[in-house]
Amino acid sequence: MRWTALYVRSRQVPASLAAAVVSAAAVWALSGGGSADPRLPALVLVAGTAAGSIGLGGQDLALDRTAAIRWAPRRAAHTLLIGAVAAAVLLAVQATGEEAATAAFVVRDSAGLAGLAAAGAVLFGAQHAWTLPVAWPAFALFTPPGTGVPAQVATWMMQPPGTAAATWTAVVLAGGGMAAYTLAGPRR
Amino acid sequence: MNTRVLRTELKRSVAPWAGAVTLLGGLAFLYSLSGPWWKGPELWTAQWTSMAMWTRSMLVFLWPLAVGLGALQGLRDHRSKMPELLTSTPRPAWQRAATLSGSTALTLTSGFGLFVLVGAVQVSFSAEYQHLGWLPVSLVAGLALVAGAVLGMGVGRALPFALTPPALAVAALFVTAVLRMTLDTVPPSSSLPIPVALLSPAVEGVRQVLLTFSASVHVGQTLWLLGMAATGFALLAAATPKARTLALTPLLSGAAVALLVLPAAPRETYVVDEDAAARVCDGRVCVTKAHEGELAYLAGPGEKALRLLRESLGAGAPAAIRETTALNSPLEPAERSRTHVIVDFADEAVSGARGEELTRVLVGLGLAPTCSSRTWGSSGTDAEAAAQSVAAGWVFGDLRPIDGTMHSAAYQMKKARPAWKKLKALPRAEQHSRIKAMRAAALSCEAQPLEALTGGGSR
Amino acid sequence: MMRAVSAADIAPKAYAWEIQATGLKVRAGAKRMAVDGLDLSLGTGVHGLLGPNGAGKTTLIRALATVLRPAGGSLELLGEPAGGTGGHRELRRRIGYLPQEFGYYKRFTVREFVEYMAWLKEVPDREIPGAVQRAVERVGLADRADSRMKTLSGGMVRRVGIAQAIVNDPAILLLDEPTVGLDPAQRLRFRELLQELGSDACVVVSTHLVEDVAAACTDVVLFAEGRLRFQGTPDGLAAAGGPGHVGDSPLERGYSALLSDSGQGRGSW
Repeated sequence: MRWTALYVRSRQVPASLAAAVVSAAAVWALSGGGSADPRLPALVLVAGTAAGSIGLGGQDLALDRTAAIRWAPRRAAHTLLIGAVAAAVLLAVQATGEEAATAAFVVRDSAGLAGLAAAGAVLFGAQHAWTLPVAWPAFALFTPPGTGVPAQVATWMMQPPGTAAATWTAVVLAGGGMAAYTLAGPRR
Repeated sequence: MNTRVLRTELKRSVAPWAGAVTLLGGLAFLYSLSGPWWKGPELWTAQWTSMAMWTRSMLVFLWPLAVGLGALQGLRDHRSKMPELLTSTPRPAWQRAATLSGSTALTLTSGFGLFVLVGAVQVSFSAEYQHLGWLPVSLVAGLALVAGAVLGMGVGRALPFALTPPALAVAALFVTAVLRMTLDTVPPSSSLPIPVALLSPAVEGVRQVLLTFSASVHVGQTLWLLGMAATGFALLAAATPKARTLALTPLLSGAAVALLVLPAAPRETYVVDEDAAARVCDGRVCVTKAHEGELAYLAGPGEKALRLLRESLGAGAPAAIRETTALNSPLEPAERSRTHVIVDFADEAVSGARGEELTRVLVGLGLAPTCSSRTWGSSGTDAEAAAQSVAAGWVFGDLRPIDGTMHSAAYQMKKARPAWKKLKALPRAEQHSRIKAMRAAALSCEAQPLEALTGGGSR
Repeated sequence: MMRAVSAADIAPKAYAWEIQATGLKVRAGAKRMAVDGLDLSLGTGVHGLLGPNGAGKTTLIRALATVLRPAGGSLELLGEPAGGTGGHRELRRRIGYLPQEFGYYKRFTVREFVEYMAWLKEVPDREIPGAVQRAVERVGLADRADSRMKTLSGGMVRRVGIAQAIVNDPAILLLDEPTVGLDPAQRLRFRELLQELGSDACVVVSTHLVEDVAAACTDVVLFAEGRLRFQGTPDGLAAAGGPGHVGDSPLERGYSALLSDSGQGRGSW
């Protein structure tokens, strides 16, 4: 318990959590208490994962790597946790208003975005990990809707739940990002 | 400013990345996707204003990225543990801030400038109507990128936490995405007042070729962005908490003044560009200056259509053809006229047809003008298309669907064929009065032209 | 490389001491008075600032670098009162400072970084390239001048820190633990450099290494609990110690002798 508390503090989880909650509430207030637009819940999840991503690296990477504990399961758990927290924040805010996003939508998006954040940490380091889960949706948010598979892959986080191409993209991102992060850890 | 230091910053800060992201991000988006910017008269390389609007619309994601990159840059001193050394140096902090923000401003504006240039070169070859009225649109866009990046740097330096860059980037994305949505929705959503939505530097692209921003939009946005840049710069140079608090003044006062200046009504936001809408005629066929190039193929079929209309309608026939210059609104019917055939190049039935085909379309529009409100790239409803095909068929003697509308030929025919059969079964004089009734119905916009054609009720 | 002679160089000195502190008090953090009533006068030469951990050495150097504002007493640097409001712009141009925790931009090359610092110290634009080359050569990094900072070893980074501190030919040079991370050969070279610099500037070197002081300093300042304990030559410090005091060399014995009087050196560290 003590270890977990210290770990949570060292990875700036409280600040990330606060940022996620604030951004979810802000979007909700701006959108006037909920609308059917899938872009809004997707944005909330982007904010949550981007805020969580800064915790994917410790204060001193060299010190972390020499630690005696096994990092792999902890890294995997951390990635899962980012997705889970982002999803939980969205669902909690959503519980107060009209439901815009189904559970399947939230699970798919948060898993895919958390995987993207983990991949970002591997590629660019934890401090710059947010660039991937922010840049892709930023591009996708304004992509005109299309029906082809490439368009569905490109805008996977905005597709209705059950779209096969979007689901598979999220699965690949979540699995790939988590595996890479679990094995390689954040870039120095 | 020392050129060696400026060169160092240009190489080693986020400046080169910011420039590259602006240029390549914008081009990649426009070229890798097929969107409304590749279609019809709103084509981004067709008109100067359209080019400026489409390139500026890329700010919806370029601006948040500029803000985020600026924040990363703002964290550099803290991450490098430089403040201790910097405090001991004599050079005033604002000069350091000027070099840093100047280098990023330079690459951002060059990147965006090149992006605009790619479009400008193509427009200069294709557009008939050459003008500079589009410049403010692009200048405000460049200013927005610089102001966003400088604000990011200032906030990054004032709040040197790892969370700052992602938080700022996502917040900026909220601004462009959420504010944009409220301008986008039909009818414009009332959840945010229009001046507040106009604080977002991004635009939604081209709704109508002849539309541009009113001067008050440019002025208001410029004031707001200048305030933003001033606050970012002041935060970057400020050393004490008091100075940081004071640094917020330009942002807040800029926002306050901008909200007063920015127009509150949608009609005052997008206005018809009077120069571009000036009339250019060939005989009885007139278009706007912006579409001068279309006159070449419109004039011949136009004259012929007017003659045919005169023959079939007699004295009440429209005497001329002109292009619409009215503002499109989802709430109001399209512009119609008793004396003119009104064409709209956004309607692909018009802009896609040539020769005999175009004559048919014009005759159809003359007898059954489109009345349903126009939105992006759409033609009339399926019933209107069917009515126009029947009307044109009546003049030409054979029933054919109208190409280029959103409605498939088979679908149009399904509606048109029963009406056509009913009409043809009537005596010639009766046919004539039914056609006139249809025209009156379409002009009034109160009854369905197809129903008027078949005699009041649908039976 | 010739250096342009500025008005400041040929003007007669209007002050007796480069650094003069009277009853100087400097706060570290909100409460603790880390320098508490210090009287100190330092002229041209190399001054070794010695003292146990927490004695206030770094706080004193930061005050001398005009980073911290004195909380009381008076501090005159190059004849100009330091500590009032205002930017000390004239004064700071003639100070060189190597902080204990030397921060640098990792993406810059050595030359770019030293150039940047020279610009910040308002070295005239025309003189910057020459001054940078000279500073980099003096610390023996000429062959790595165009390497990125992030590729340097710890000792090299420290030498870049020394190079940026001397790039403006300072009249007061403040070095906070400059020998950390230097290998023995580099330390020997560094002592020579110190002696060179000390011939026409007031150099203050804070260190824990007594042997550095013996080899390179003309003057020793022993500092504990925010107050001056001893000021004199290294020989004078050695003379203070006797065979009964802890230490492997005369200087170390003198050091422990002067500190043990006040009850310093409590505990095993």
